Amino acid sequence: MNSAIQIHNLSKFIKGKAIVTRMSLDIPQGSLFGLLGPNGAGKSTTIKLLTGRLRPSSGSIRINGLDPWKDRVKIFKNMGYLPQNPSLPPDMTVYSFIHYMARLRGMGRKESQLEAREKLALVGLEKFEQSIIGKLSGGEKQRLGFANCLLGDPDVLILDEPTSSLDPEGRVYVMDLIGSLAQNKNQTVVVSSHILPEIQRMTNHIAIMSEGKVLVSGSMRELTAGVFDNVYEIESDRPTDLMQDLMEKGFICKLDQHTVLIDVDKRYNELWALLPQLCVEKGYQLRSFKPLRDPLENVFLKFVSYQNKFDDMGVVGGE
Amino acid sequence: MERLRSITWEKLSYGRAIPIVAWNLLRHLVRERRFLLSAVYFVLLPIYLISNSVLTAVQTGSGIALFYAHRNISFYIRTFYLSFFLGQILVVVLSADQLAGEIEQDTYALLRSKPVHDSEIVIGKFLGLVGVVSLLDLPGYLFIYFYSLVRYEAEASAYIGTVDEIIGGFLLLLLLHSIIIAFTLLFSSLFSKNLYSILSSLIFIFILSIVTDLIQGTNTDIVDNYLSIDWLAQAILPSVLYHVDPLESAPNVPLIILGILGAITGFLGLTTLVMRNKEIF
Repeated sequence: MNSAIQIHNLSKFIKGKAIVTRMSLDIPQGSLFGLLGPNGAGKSTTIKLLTGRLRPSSGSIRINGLDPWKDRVKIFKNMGYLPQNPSLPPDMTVYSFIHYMARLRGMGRKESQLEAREKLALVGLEKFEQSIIGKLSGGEKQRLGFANCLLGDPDVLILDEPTSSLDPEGRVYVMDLIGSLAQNKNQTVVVSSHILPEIQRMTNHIAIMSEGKVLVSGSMRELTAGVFDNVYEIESDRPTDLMQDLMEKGFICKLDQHTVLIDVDKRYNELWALLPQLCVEKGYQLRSFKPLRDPLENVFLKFVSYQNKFDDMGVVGGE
Repeated sequence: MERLRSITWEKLSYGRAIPIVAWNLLRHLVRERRFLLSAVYFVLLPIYLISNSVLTAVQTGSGIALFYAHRNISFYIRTFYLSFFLGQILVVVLSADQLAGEIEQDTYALLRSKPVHDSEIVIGKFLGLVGVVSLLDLPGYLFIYFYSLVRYEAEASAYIGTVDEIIGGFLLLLLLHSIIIAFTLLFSSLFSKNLYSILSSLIFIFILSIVTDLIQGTNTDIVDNYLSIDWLAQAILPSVLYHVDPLESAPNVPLIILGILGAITGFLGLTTLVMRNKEIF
């Protein structure tokens, strides 16, 4: 698969502090790529480097073969960018802002009028055309920022925490919209977030970052293959009795409201055979049986905690 | 061939954003309160000038009317627009946040997320501001000139016959204001806070006044104004407005105009360089 974005040995130091360290990443064309990491992991700095807002201290970035710092203008002919909590001019109306941005994108007067209206409708802001931006809610501003970055249907979209200031309904709307972009238009979308379920829902490739480093990257399928959680939750009609029976068989269990949390500890096959047997013999009604954490969460915790241990040992470059 | 076509297209598309940026700035700035407050000053000033500088005329007719029209315009530009400090502060206040304010509010990132060169943004902002200052300058300028023609009963032909002088004088005025706009934009690009760009621009005007004082040397006739940019006006205005030779001590006019244009180009070039290499955190 061709790479839309190639990052090689990228580092960024700000006031002597390493924010991004020797980062290497290939983002495939047409992928929905998630940059996942805790706050302070260097996601936003990486995004700013990708969009030419910051100059790399060392290493290189290529977006469709071009350097975003040197060839910003060429790159943005085919790229859209949504900053985290986008600052929009508060005195302009929604329509005049988006029309102005469309004109700057190189569209003619009439074309930009159509495009502005189309994108406002796409993000559900068509009723707010004449509203002053300063009077919009945080979520509406975020949608407007999103409409701005979609102008001209660019091939590459860079979205920095796109759902950060949205209400739950807005989050679902934007996540679905992002999901549909890659499917319908073969756009490459890079999304940063610290919220794992959102990344999981929006993207099909991810890179997990911590302390300025990429700990692991790949497609969702590659990363979660063979990853199992030790702790499962079982929902049943009589959880206390079920827990008692499982503990008698040597399993470590805990009751959490109406579910039984069980540490399988590599005895998965044994449990898988025991549960139906108990249901038949004791008449338990099993309502659900699932891992406590999903596979990606396990991958995330595994790598982030591994990185922290590595750093505690004073080892440099634990990628 | 394909590459050649792409390079040609690149060159042709350059500059496309300049009028868009300029027009956007103009139409939004004129709605702002600071513009309206500045306009009050720029309207009151000529009225104040007229009420204080009406000279007793013993003759009427086109000759004397044109003389007073020219004289009042010259006085108006030199004494008030060029030398009166408040006029320059207002130009600085209108210009100073155009880059620093955008960086401070993080809206510059929006402009840079479009295929627009930094130089296009800088030139667009500059032209937009020149447009805004023109709107402030023009009413007072025309009022003073035509008031003099009407008051001293100029013949009808005088109104048409002096159009070139009106335009020439106005362009000179704009040129001098443009220097202030250009170096204010430079300071605006150097700082990420609006306040610092205002203060540094005002300090620069002060330094400029000292330098021009030094250049004008011992000519004590024109040292009583705070800002001595007016020696430029004294050098240029006679030829523009009176069609006579400039002051003896003044350098030649084309050289001055070229110098002003060069300075403006230099300031805008430096501003572009700063913005091109500015990291937006």
